[in-house]
Amino acid sequence: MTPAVLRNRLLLAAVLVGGVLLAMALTGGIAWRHGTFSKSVEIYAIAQNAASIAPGTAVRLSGVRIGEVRSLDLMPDLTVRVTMGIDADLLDKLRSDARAQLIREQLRPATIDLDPGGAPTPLDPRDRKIAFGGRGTLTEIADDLRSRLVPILDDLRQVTGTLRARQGDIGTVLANAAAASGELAKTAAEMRALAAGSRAQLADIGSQSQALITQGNATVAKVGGLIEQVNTSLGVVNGALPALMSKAESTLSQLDAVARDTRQISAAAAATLPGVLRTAPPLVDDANELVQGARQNWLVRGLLPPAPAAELPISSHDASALRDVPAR
Amino acid sequence: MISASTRLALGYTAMLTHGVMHAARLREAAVREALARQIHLSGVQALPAVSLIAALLGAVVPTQAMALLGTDNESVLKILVWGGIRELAPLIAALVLTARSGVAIATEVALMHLRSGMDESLWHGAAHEDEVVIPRMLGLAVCGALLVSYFQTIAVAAALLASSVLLDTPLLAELDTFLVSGVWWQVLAAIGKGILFGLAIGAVCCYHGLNAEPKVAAVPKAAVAAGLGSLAAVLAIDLFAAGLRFV
Repeated sequence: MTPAVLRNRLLLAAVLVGGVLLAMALTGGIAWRHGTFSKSVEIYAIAQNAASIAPGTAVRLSGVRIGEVRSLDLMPDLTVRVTMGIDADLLDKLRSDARAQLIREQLRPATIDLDPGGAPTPLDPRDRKIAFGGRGTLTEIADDLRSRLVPILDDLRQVTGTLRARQGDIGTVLANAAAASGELAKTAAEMRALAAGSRAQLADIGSQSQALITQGNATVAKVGGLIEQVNTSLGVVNGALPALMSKAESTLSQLDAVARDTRQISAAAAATLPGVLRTAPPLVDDANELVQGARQNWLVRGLLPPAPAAELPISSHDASALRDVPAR
Repeated sequence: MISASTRLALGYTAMLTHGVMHAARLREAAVREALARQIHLSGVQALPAVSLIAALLGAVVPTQAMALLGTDNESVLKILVWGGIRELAPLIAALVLTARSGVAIATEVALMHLRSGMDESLWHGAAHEDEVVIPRMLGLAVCGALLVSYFQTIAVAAALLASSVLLDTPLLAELDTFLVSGVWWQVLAAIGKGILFGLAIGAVCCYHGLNAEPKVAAVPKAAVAAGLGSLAAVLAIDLFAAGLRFV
């Protein structure tokens, strides 16, 4: 074998080995980055529509690729079961309310963004199902906005047409509104003046109330002084009362002694007076007879007119009339 | 009466089947020698040209993609992965093989047929035909895989470098983004397509070389027919592969 042939053979072998190594490196690098050599677990979500999703669609968590869509299966109720393979180490980060969201943007491949959720319980290991939602593209959002705006614009057009048709009425309405506004301005001015008067009256009432309160305070102070005086007087009375009571008691005892003496004197007088009193009535009777005899026999008796008879009142039930009628 | 296209297709298929069925002839030292020589001529010697094309394409694709799509790094890398690796690398390798080696093989075999002085019976003898066809067909298959492997690696490296320079991002970050965007089996699928393209080009070119009339005017005709037939076969296989992906 010549050196040239040997060199060619070595070059050929190097190129072949280099080609194989490059292919293996490229394939192995991609497979390693996709987690082919790491442990992965499957989770799934039920989507109403799997448009834009395909096996291999990236699954991201916080924007970092953690897996991909493994398969799409049409369910009997026409929903789609989207099975995703994700890094097994991240499974415990998903909570029971974890959620997958399909993100489609213009000119960019669709991705599924995982929201790990915040529920206290982790994802059920026996049924690794998460919720699924989609976010519309700009075109879909624009279509939705257009569908919402078109009825509003139609209504606005109708309102504008109606307003144009009733422009004269609107002028009248505006004039009335201007007049009403003027009246309202006047009313507002009156209300303002009324409010100012009320404010002044309230100020007077306030000052009077303040004076009354001051007087009341003074009166209360006086009453307090009087109460203090009464307290002082009561203290004096309390001091003098025992002495007065003792004096009254001694006076009463003295009066009792006087009464007792009086009873003794009365008893003594009663023992001496009956004889006198027993002799006094015949003497009075005698004196009466003498006066009667003298009146009947006295000379001047004829000179004097006889006493008139008592005049009876009209109504005998009036005792005061009988009592008040002067004797004639 | 069958059409010319059908006859050609049947002839290509027969040549391909014949070469694959008699691959055991590689045990012979002369056949292995011819195979090594064919790989050296069609693969090693074509490597600089393929590498240059790959580097230029790898650098141009991100630039053009960013001009079209903006500095959307992920989309650029997606275009590079899907277009550059799976589709462009086998097609470019096939074009290089056809232009550099396929036409040369057809011309060489036609000239051998014309100038060897060998009679018809010897040329159509199984042993000699296998010695001519098998090293060239299998050699182009190996070269197809080899060129695709180098092409996609160099194209990706150039694209990552261009993307890193244009976006002012770390090269390792670009590499990581590419690895995330890529699909591992696409690399192997592209190499597989390169093998199929090489086999087809070798079979087509050998067919036209072997079936050339023994006269000088037939040699360029055989070369032209080999070139066009190779391109047609490559596109047909690519279409078939694309169809398989959607089945």
